[in-house]
Order: sequence, then structure tokens, then C-alpha cells
Amino acid sequence: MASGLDDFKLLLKEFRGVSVWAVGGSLVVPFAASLTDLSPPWPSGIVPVTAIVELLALVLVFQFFRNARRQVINRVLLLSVLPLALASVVYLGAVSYFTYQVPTTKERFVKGYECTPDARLVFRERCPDLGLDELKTAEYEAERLWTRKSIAITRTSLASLWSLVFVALSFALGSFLCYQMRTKKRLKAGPARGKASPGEGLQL
Amino acid sequence: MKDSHLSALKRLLFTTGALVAVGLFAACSTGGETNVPVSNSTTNTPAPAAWTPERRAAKTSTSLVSADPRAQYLNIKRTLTGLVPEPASLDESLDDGRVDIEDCQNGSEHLGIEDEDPVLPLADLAYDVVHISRVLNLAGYPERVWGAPLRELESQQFELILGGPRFVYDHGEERNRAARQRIVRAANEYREEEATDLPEVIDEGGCGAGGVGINVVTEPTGGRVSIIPVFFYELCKSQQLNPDDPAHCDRWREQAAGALMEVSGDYFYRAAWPDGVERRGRLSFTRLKDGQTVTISKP
Repeated sequence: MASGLDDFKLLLKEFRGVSVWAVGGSLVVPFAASLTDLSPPWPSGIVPVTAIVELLALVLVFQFFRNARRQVINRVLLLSVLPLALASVVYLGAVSYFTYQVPTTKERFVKGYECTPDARLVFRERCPDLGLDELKTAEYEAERLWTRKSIAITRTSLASLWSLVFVALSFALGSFLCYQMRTKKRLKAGPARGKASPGEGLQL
Repeated sequence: MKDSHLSALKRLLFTTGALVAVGLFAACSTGGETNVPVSNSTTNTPAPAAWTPERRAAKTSTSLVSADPRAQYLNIKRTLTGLVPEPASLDESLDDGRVDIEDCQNGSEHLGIEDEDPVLPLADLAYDVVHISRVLNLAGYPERVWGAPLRELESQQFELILGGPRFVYDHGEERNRAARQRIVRAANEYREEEATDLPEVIDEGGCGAGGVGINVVTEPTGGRVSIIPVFFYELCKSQQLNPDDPAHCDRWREQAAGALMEVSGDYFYRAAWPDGVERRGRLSFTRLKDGQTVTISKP
């Protein structure tokens, strides 16, 4: 017998379907797994954590907007696409500026924004804007050039921005799919009886 | 809601509750003390002073460490022993079937300490001591084999922290590396003579920011090679120290006989032969692979 959970499973299936269509990614972890190369270097298990965050966001969308009217869905869609666009741009800029790759091992690490006293002595006015040239003099050890605090804050900010991107993505796609699935059901069931709101039953 | 859904929800709540209870119990139980083979007597540090009303009134945790690091070091070590989980099995600590006494963590990370905190160097030293004793115990090496050189490392580094101008613990410092090499030698000698089935003990690390292990040899043989990261060389210059004098610029590392050097990035090197001839220069190790040999020829 059909239940609310079946509808959610259907939503999840559609969500994964869109993920595969968009980025050709894994069916198990939508979107995030396909973008591993863009993920922040810290923490190491960010991709599975992102999948859980995505799922939670999708649960919220399903719970609150399953039966929402088209105007509400449009608003949710807009309110999630805007932060998605903004967070994506800021995240890409931050990843480009605050991460580096060690040439020998191809491992990626996060920089900081405040030089250690030792680094200030050596690099003076170049601090804290240090790059690979300075890192290779310090065995690519970020903690020699930047304070642990600034590295920790940068790491956390990158991970938060990354999560925000996927929460916004889940809200945008989740609300869109919720509405489209309902529309599809109604179309299958035949013309709705009673009063319909303007635009109801039409594809976006 | 249907009965089946209700019972599924109840099962979920019960499982979650049980997991939370187990987690809380585990968190509480790790606060207890674990016996660290390197005992209180190893660093000549006195046992922590008794709690008195005067101490309660006058001190904060940080000021206690600053005022009396000797007494507080043991407290820090005990705390770390409780906080850092022991490896579940030997396999977790093996690197290609060998026991590496260097790992990628430090005490200050476990305690969440910031740069200027006086606890930082003591926590990092305590972590190294706890880690080394744990992995060697787990690998089956008896304490009588490695206890003495580990105690030597601990007391030597403790005195260096207290006596140094900047109150720091330098894991890569030459005396630190030499002391760890003595632990490795003692363990491997025991293995060769008495317990050949034990895994080999090494001191390689290789974590941090992607170093590779290289073998530096001299031509002709017999030369002693030391290297220093360019950053530390320049730092010594900025500190008005002679960067070529290892006695003052103490970041130079000498290659131990037969051991690989962990390198990554740019270094200054110094090769000295027994007849007094020296060769100095700058080397870049960004394109080398693990195990590669670098030859330094006599000028």
C-alpha cells in the first residue's frame, strides 16, 4: 500500500536521476561524489557527509513543501538558487585561493590567512599572501607559514561553504521535483475537480 | 499513522537511544587513566602537587603550566593518554608490514590547543612518548628494550623545551631524530637477536605535506650529509644567527646511516668528508620519487 515514504523514495529516485543526468555521478551519493575533485581537502570524509546533508535537506523539502502551491515552490526555488549561485562562486574562489597541491604526492592542503611569527620574519610584507614558492621552502607544511587558528578557520569555512552549496542545490531541485511529481500524478488522475489555482497542472 | 509505522518508529527511537547511551558511556570511560609504560619517573618530573585551597584561589589552568611546567607535564600526559584512543589492532599501525614510530598526529590537535599556548610543546612531546610506547607495546616489543631510549628522548626534549628561547617542541630537530633513531636501533637489534617474527621498526613518517623518502649518498663515500629547509635557513638569517652553524641554527638534519631522508621542497645541503673538504648548495626535491638516490660528489 502506498505511503508518504513511498513518495519520498520516488523523490529520491528522481533526485538521483537528475544527478546522473547532470554530472554522470554515482547513484549512491548524488552530485557530491561526482565533484570529488572540487571538494575541500578537509575533512577527508566530506563526500559521504555531504550525501547525508543532501538527504536531510531533501527530507526537509519533502516534509514542508510536498503539498505547497506553485507560488511557494517558485519562491523556494528562487531563494535556493540565489544562495546556490553566490555560494558556488565564493567557494570556487576560496578553494582556488586557500588550497594548494603538493607536486610530489598531489595531496591537497588548506592555507591560512595569518602568518606565524617565524613566517613574518622571513617573508615580511609578502605575508599572508604566500604561495607554492614559499611553501616549498617550508617542506609544504602550512603550519610553518600560517597560524593553526587561521588554518582551522579556513578549513571550516571551506567545508561550510561546500555544504551550503549542496543544501541549496537540494532545496532547489527537491522543491522542483516535488512539484513536478505532484503535477504528473494529477495529470495521470485526470482533470482536477473543484477550484484550481492559476497555472496548476502546468509544467514549469 | 499505521501500527507498522509506529512500531518501526519505536524501533528506530530505541536503537538511537541505545547508540547515544553507548556513545556517552564510551566518552565517559575514555576519561579514565591508562597505564603509560613510560612512567612518572622518566622525566625526573615530580608527581603533580596536591590540590590545595591556595592553588584553587590563585591559579588558572594555563598559568599553572607556565609557572610549573615540570609538575604539569605529567597531568598533560595523563590527559592525552585518556583522550587518544589506542589502536584497535597492530594492522592499524603498520606501514608495509613495518612499525613506524612516527605518525601524523600531535598532542595539541587532540587537546585543541592554539599556537601561543604554553601547553602546546608539552602536549606534543607527551603525545610522541605515548604513541611510541603504545605502538611498540602493541607490536610485541618488551619495555626493557625501548624504555631506556624513550625515557632519554623524553627527558632530553623536555629539557630542550624548558631551556629553549622560544618554548617550542621541534619534532624534526636533529637531537629528536637521533633519539628516535636510538629507539629504532634498540628495537631492531632485539628483533634480529631474540624475536625475528616481530615486525621491523622504522622512523619514517611520511605524513605531513607529502614528503618522499630519498637516499643521499656521497661520492666518494664517507661524507656526512646535512640538510635544512630553505625556510629555516632564511629564518636563522632573520634571527641574526649564522645559518651555516648547526650549533646555533639548530634546524639542520643529518642523514642517519642507512636511513632514508624524508624530504619535500627546497633545501640547503652541506656534505663534509673526513679530510675536511665540504660542499654546500641548494637542492630542490619536488620531482623525486620515493626511494630514489641522490649522489653528492666531492668538489
